[in-house]
Amino acid sequence: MKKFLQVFFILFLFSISNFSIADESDGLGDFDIFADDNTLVGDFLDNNEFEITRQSTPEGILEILIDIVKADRILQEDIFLRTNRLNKRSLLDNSLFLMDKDYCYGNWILGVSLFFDQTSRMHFTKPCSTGKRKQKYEIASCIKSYLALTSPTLFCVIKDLESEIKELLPDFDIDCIRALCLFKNATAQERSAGLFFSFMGKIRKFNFRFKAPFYYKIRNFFLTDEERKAISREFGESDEKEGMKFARRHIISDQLGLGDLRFDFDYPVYAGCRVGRDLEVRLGMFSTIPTNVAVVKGLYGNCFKPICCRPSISFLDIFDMLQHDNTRQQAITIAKNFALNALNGISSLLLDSSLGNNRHFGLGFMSKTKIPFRSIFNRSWLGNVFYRGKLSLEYLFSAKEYRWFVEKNDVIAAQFAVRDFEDEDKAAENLAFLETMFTDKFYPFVYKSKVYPGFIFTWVAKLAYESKRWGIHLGWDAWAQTREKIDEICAKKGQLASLDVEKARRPWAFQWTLLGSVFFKTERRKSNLYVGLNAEKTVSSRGIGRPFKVTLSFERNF
Amino acid sequence: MRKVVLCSIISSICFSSSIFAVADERAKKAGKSFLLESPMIPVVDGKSYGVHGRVFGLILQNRREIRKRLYGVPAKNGGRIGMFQLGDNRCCLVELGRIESENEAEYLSKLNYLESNRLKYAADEWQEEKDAIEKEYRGTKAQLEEVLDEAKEDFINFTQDYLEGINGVKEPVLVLVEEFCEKKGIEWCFLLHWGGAEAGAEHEMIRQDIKTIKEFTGFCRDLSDFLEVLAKSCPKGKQLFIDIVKKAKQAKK
Repeated sequence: MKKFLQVFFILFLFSISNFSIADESDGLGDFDIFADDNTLVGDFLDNNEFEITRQSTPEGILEILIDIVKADRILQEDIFLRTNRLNKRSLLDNSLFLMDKDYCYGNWILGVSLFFDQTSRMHFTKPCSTGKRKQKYEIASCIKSYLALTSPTLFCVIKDLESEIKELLPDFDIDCIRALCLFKNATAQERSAGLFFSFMGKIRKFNFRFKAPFYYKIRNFFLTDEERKAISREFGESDEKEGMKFARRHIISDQLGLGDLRFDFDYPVYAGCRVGRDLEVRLGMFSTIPTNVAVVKGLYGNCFKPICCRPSISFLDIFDMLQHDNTRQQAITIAKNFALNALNGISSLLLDSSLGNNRHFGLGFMSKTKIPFRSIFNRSWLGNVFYRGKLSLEYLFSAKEYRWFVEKNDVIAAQFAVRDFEDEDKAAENLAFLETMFTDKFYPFVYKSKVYPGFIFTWVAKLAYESKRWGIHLGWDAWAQTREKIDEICAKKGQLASLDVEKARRPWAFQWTLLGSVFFKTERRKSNLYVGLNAEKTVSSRGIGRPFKVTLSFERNF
Repeated sequence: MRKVVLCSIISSICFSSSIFAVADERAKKAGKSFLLESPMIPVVDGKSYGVHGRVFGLILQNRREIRKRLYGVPAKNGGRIGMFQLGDNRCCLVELGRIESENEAEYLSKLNYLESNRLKYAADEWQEEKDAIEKEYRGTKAQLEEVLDEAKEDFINFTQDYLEGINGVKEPVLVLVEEFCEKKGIEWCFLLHWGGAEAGAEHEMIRQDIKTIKEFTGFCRDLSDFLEVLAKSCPKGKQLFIDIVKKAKQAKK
């Protein structure tokens, strides 16, 4: 009996262990939550409401941003390769408004010139260091030299992101890299038209002049027809009216007003016996007085002001809004406004410019030379042929201007390196950091800074033929401006060291221009009238665009 | 000898129970549902923006409600009570589907008999018989259609929250539905069609496109199975839900 009981209990225990093995092998934990007869779970489900209004948490959003969107990698990439303002030559330095004819009637000359000036492709920066010569200069006029639209490292990150999204959403077919490349060759274009007033007087041997323009200037971003067609093919045709409305609101800037005032005077330091017939060298001084004022802004386009106030964005709010039908559109509107304001910020940096030289007072010296060809080649028919030259050097004094800055790459990288995005206790802090970085990436810091534009050098050389009734001038001019210096940036002390000031400095600029004028003189009873047609075209440049200019000048000598 | 026989009987009882239990488990495993393997699952499983405890609970809740309509509400005596009234009876969708099929089959069979035995009846007698059969068939069919409309509106009501919840993430959910159908060997089902509807058009699609109780039952069964597979594929979400249930249980105590 005893043995029987022992065997029985052993077998019984063995069978119990089999039962428990069978029970635990389903891996559902304590109970089968999918069973209909599970009263615990059933009662819980029947008596509770599950609110699906998802409240996003910093931890949840960080997971999406870091693991899926790769925000930490993207935000370390450069968006702004440069943040300098574009170089532009002052109208006052232009050789077509020199007033250097032989005014023999009286001592006063009043001139007004109707002019039109166009720069089809402004240069964003200096020529790039690689590539063929022509390409280097062409690239400098494309926005890809200014914004990182073709950065290989950025493309790498975007490709990784696209392949991850495609695994989750196989129908996802947006090619972000192709979309960016459609805009890479966009440029900035400028046109000016107006009146250039000049007044000259001769007192004893002094000649003095006052000059000032009153004109309309318009600057816009520009894409060629082929580029626009490619964009339409990619994103679909848009309504032309809507497109123009968008352009006028965001990528065109215009203003009408008065430019700076130039005052110069010169005195002959060497003159031959025959006035107007012999070699003459004149030395003089001039100054640029910053009188520019815009009478009207945003006539056709928009007036873009520097965005000094940092915008803020809350990913938490946006994620919450995206999850509900009634607030989804609001989230999309917030994102759209953020993007459009960033575009306006870029427009204020690149398109908005003053009608003068940004309130810099200038002082310069000049020398003028007039060499009759007959004194070199003794031919009678060369009697009316002269060489006219002018050399000038101007220094522009410093003035406070708004300048745009981004932080240095190594500073940003260091900030990311110390962040532990997996630390749940610091999730809110890390999310706030990403929001700040996101804003800083698309909105450069705008601070008032002391700008030293440096020196401007011009050299004009013309071959002039002037007879009693008409004349012709043919020549060239060279213009160069040194690289500017930026100082006394009104940023917070802690941020000064991290700002990339080099990116904000304008490069030094050079232009070589061919010019020509033809004018006719009519003699009146009390005055002579000179009517001239003048044109010039920049054929070579660096760090600045290559404009062409046409003027119709009227000068009354009385 | 008696002892040996007694031992062997008792031990065989014990062994066989364990063998049956193991066999039962093996049978269960052989029919165990598959899991979804989309790369999206690890991205959303257990996440606050994805399938967390409350969302898991909502999935289970919807599944439970659908199964109540399909098979009836569990009664205390162990049976089930249907949720829909047909005449004097409470029926579930499965039963209603069976009644619908039987009604169709009976109608066709009676009609066939009548056609093949036309000569046995006088003309007016034959017509009367036919009218009676038609009336009985249409009467039952009308009742069933009424119940179907009621069932559809009831479905739309209790899935309202679920639909609002997935509205922002419809495309990814459709990817999971497609994987589910592929693994289950279904080429086309209403669930797939419904999942691809534009946001807000799902209710109209159910009202317009589902015409029989059989179709509706098939759809509910597919949806219930999909929700079960989805829930089983999210172990982290499941654990979070279990934690919620345990907390609620402790709070009650």
